Amino acid sequence: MKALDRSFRFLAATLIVAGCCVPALRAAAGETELKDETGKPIVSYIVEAPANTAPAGTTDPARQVGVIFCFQEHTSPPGADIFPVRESLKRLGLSDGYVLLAVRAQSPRGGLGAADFVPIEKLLAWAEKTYPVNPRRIYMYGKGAGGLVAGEFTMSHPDLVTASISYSWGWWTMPSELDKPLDPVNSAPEFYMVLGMRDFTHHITTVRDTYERVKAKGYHVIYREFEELGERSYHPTSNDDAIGWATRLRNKTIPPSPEELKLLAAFDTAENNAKNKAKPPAPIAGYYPSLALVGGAPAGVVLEKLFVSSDAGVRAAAAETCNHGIFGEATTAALGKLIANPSPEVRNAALRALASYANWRSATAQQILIQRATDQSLDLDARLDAADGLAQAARLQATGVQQDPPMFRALVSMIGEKNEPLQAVALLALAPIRRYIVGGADEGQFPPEEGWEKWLEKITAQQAGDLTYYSVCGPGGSSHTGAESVDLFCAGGALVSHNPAQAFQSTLQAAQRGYVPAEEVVGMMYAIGKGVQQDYHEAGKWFLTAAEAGNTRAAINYVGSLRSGMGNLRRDPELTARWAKFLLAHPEYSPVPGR
Amino acid sequence: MIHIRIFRTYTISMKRFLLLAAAAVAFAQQPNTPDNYYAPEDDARVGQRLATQLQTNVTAATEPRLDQIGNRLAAQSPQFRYRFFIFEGGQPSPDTAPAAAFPADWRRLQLDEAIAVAGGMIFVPRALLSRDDAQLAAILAHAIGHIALRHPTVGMTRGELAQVEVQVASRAMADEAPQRVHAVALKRFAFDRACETAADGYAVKLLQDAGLDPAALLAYLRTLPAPQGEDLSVYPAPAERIEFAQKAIGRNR
Repeated sequence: MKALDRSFRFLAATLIVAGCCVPALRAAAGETELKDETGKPIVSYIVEAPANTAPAGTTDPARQVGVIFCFQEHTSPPGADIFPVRESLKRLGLSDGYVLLAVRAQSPRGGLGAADFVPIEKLLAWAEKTYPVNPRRIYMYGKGAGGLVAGEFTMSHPDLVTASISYSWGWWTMPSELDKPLDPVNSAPEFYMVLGMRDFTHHITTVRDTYERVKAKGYHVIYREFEELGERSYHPTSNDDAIGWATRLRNKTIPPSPEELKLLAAFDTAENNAKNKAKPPAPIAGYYPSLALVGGAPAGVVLEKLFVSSDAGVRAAAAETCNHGIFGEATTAALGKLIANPSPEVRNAALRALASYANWRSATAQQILIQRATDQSLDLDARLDAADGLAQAARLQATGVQQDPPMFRALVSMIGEKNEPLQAVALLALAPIRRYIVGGADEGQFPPEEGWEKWLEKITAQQAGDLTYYSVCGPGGSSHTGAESVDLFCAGGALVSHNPAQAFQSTLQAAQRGYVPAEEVVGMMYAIGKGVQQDYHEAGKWFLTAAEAGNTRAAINYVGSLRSGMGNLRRDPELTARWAKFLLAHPEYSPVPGR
Repeated sequence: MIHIRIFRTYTISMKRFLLLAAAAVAFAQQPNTPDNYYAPEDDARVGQRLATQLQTNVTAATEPRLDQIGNRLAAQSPQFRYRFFIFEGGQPSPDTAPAAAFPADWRRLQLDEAIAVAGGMIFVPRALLSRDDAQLAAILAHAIGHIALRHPTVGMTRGELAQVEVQVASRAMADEAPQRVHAVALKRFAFDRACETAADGYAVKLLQDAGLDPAALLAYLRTLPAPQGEDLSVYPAPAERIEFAQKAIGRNR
């Protein structure tokens, strides 16, 4: 009887909780129609704004809000992906700062795509008229077809969107760099891609294929794979990491508003009046919220001055501010100097921020942590601090994709340390990669099957991708084989970041002379629009040509190109015949039957 | 290029076989009896093209002191017509034709050598004018050696053969291709080092023929920095060059 009573109580409690939640979810699902001046519907949308939002037109940055678009998979109703974003914002304590938007697809079949771009632009314009939106804080989050829109829209609208988070699917259309090279540091948006290993097979291949192309394009991209995740985007681990990262970023192409500049100027004035002992604004909760709010490189410049303040309190608050915003690599490098600061508060704040930045793939932060963790001349505590930071930064990579092999090389080197605590940190960080046998005669803990050195080589080659081909090039873009084709290829590689069009021409000439790596790279350049108008048909041609010469990466890329449906490859009789012939010799690239 | 087009009509295995055969021919080239696809009269034409490109990117000028020393040496090496220029500033553009000049890394700023262009033009970095007449003569004699021994066009010939080699080497698995292409590059480095030593040998003889002291070459070689990465350097270690030059001086006495 007592047991029954208890289960009844449990049931009642469950019903009450469910009862509270369901109406809330239903209310959120209310769609509204956005109409143009003539009353014609533009898009059906769902909006969730924080309570007590300031009126539209508010210019005080502290009372402005950001916007996060939440795009759903083609099988889900609009608004389905608001939930993970809302929950994550709650956990991060950011709910008050963001308006969430979802849209119904224009396509009656439900899949979001390029047809939704203009309605999305108009909806954003509406949001900016309705809420006090800060244009430097617009983000996109999407799953499946929604992930495609998040990625593609962000790439094509760098002046509108700051960062994109996508789950479970990829995208193909990318802006062509014909004269101006992509500038990942000063103007390009940033990307976060998530793939669950329990997802559909063709999702796995598509997301991986997209990652290779986003990487080749040169964008800053954080790419995570999770063993336990399926075809979902509710995944607090990655949600919090991604949204925590995105909301710290500010649009690089939009300068701070006059009010934002005023917030920065308050610190500058203090700097100029150092002789009068004028102090910068007092920190709140240990940091400078106004600098974190303005964010980006403009606030970074101010922080860099505060890092060298003679007042340890100011230094500590400035370092702590880095735990609330991202300010770019220059500021990270300056922050790195505080890691050896005499004040423990300053040191600790700097260390935590560097660990976060390294987790979000700041090469500067990673280098600083690696250097300190492996510097035998430092005392143990200093090394341990840096090693802990490194372990934290490697955490999500260790269980997924090792995007930054240098961190793992450092951790592996620390396994051999005589120092037990250091060794323990490294072993724990590398635990997901080590093998464990519990029970039986073979019980023990072991390195990966192939041994650490081979494993490191493997992950390094995987991440380098097409870049491994350039290992034959010396400085200055010459190969020293004496062969013209390799010299052209190397010259192309040396030019790619500042003159993509010339780089493309040079690489194309190398490919036309039959240099196979160049054939593969030219295919990739066509696929991502690097120095040439994006053209999947040409990409396919070159991928297949390289594949026929035995290049495995090109064969995989050709499969991806076929799957994308771009470039009408399947309608080209010559390519179709060549591919059929290729498959006879290489059945491992055949499509899985039944799809 | 033509080879490749022909091969594409064969099956893959046949294609591989033929390419390997072509590579075997290329591998069989002995470094000390190198073939030169260019006739001696072609050297000036090939060199002129490079010199024209070079002169649009760097400021070149004649210099009486250079002419005086150079012409004395040139008189002993009649095959080509030598002309001497001082150059400064500017950086040769990356699309400048690659192999028609020596040393192999002539694009590098702050060269310690003169640039010897096929057919007879020699470009001396202005910084080298600070050397005394004896060393300057050694520098020019070495450059004349490259031209007289036709290293630029021999190098271009080898580049064309290497083209076939890298074609084959690049047809490896994606991860292995760079290593195989590296192997081709290693052979080229060895060739370039061999050319430096050969030009030193020629310079010793030329200096002696012109009635100058070949020991100036030793003095000059002693001022050179040690190259980094033995296998990946276009220069032999200076100590090696000095030893070789000393032997050459001894032999010719």
